[in-house]
Amino acid sequence: MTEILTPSNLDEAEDAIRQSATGGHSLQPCGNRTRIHRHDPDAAPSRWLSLSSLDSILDIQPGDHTCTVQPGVSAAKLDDAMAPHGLELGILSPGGEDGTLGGLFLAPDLSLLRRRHGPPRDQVLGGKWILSDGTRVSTGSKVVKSVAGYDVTRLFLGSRGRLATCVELTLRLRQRPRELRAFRLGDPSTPAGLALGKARVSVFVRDSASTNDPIQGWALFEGAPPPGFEGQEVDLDEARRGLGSALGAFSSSSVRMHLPPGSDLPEHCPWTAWDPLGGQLALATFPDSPPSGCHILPVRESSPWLAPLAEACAPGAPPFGGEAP
Amino acid sequence: MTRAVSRLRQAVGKTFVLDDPASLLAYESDALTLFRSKPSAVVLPRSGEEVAACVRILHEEGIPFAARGAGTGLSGGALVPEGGVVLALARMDRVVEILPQARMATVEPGVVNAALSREAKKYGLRYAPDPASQVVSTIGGNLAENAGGPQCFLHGTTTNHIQWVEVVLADGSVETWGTASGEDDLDLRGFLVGSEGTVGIAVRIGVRLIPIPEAVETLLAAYPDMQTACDTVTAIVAAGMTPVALEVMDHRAVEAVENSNFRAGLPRDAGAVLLVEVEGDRERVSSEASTVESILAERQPLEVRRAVDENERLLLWKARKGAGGALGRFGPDTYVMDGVVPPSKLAKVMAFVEEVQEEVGLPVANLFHAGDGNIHPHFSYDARNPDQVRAVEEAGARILRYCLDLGGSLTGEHGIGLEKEHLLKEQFDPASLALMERLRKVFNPSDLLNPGKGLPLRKGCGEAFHRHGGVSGGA
Repeated sequence: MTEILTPSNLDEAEDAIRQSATGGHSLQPCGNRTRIHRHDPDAAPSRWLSLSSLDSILDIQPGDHTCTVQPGVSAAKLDDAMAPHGLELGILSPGGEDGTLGGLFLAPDLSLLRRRHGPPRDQVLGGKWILSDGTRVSTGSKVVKSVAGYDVTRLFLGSRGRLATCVELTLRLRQRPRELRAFRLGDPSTPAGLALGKARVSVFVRDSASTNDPIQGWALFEGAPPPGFEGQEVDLDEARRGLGSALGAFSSSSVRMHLPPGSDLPEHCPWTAWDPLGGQLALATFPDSPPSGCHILPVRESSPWLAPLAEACAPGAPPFGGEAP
Repeated sequence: MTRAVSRLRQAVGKTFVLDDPASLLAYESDALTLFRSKPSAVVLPRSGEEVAACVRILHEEGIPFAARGAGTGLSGGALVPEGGVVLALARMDRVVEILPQARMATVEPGVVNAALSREAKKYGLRYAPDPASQVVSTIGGNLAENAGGPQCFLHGTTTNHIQWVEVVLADGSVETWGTASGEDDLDLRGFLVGSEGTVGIAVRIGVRLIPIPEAVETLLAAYPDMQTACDTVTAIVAAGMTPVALEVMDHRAVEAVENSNFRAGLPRDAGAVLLVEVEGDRERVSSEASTVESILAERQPLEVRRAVDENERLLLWKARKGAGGALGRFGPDTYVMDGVVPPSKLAKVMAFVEEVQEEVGLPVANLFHAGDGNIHPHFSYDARNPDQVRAVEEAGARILRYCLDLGGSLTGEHGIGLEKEHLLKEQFDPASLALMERLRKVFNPSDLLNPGKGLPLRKGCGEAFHRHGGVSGGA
């Protein structure tokens, strides 16, 4: 069985990485491994390095809308800490309860708030990292705007832990909506018109990819929906359950497809969840031919740049995750 | 060089390679005139294929080169060392396509920022990043510097609006980084944006467009002093308001604007003027403008008013964006600083700027993106006077160091370029800088692509660029 190292502080994490490098062990950083099937289905390192114990919220600057956290913090824990300040992370992604923020940001994960606040990666201002030879480095900054040095943060975030182990993240925060109203939606083939475009979030789900299965949809508005919107107002908890089932479908789907926002839902498409505002579809199976204008989102890194970048990050040291695929 | 020029002429046509001294003079600096370096030749390619062909030649000949847009950069980022070649991409100015439903456009790097928004407007869309130079600066240059602008407070900087890039690498090979959704595993697109032309040259760019808002309200508040204006900005940000722009101009900037063609009736007696713009659907704008208005009124303003119509709104923005140019009346040269602090530290940093100004004894005007904490002290000086050059450089360095002390950054949107490379080691530790250098080498192994920019210069490299009267190696 693969050994899981669980350092309780930064020094222990650095020691574990250094010792693995010296001993020639391949090490793969992880959080609670709730998303591991999507991070790297083939990963078989000799050791896992779980950062789930690095779970402190280090700093909150409500006036500047920023916070600094360790990677083992869950989205739910951060949300609880933000609520008294009227702030939120601006991300609605799978694994909010059990998954770690490190895991969330280190893959191109989706967010149902993408259209409003951008993809999850846009919320990260900077971070601290340990390279695979044990060197500590920092990237980015703690302010919402900085172009000093290369944007190494984005490079590391997209590497699924292959280039560096995340030990600290500085995040941009957003204003929490003051009032939320929830609505059940009808069939997506008769959408609630342009008015749905003003929703904070909306999703459609169905139990399986069969086109015979009933479709359910929900939308949340910040305040009253605009004139022309047709939907039945429901309890917020019901809509939250609906959002949860959509996130579950996205989490378990093997294929995700990007559909330009505003597009009609393609016919004969084996989807299980659809985010019409963000243009994201969870698919049960790989479609025979992606509809025009759509593209399949990457499941796993296969860039030829990964190996030379890993060597540049820590020359001579074994890269995280073993040999790059 | 003669052989290289001959090969370049074969690649792009005789007319489009300049090497006569008079033509080259225009390319010896960008908008930061502190640094000058005349290239050996300037090539004006018309397509990505021509750029790739030129890069292959320069790579084979071992000649340093850099891409250049409109030359509006403010950190010396588009200069080449003597003997180098500039690839000026202004002729690559086609908006290739606009996909209104997908809210996307494909553009060449020489497309002028404002021209893209004009084209997109036909479809009810616009391109959000709006640097003050937007009527001149190009999307390619904006990408290289990760340009910002007033509207970036709400909409983010260039990196948030670039989905994919077709990029010519240092050896002339061509790759596409990013995807139509902007999502990719290894975010090479993100690494390229803001890399100051040292990682690759963008020759085709997929940009995100956003809808023109249903309603816009612009508010102006005048305060007796800068501190009160800054405190008001902090209060607006802390209250969770999300205006699209939150801009401050100090007394000297107002004075310059009102004495220029950009005059907009700004209150001349104000110590600082705050411009706030909110946008969105009518209901939201109405409610947010009222809330902002009440916050503006809390600190005894000299005046608070809303632009009564679109004409007045445009006039106010013309004043704000023209202010930088209007400051030319205070001296023959202007040195524009670019630092960032957390918004809650704005009042502190502006007090420090005032303190430095008093010590230096040169006029300083302030106009800046307050919502982002992105300050731009404008020092007026005479570049022919070495003492003044030394004084503004030292003052600038002190202010930037103070930004770092307050938890900020050396640059929010102008880039490091040649100007601030000596300060970068104060923002990043040696291991982090060494990592950046190694990462650059992955894409730019022989360092021919825009050498010496964005990272601390290696020993001896700094002398390749003539510092106009200033201090080599920095303050």
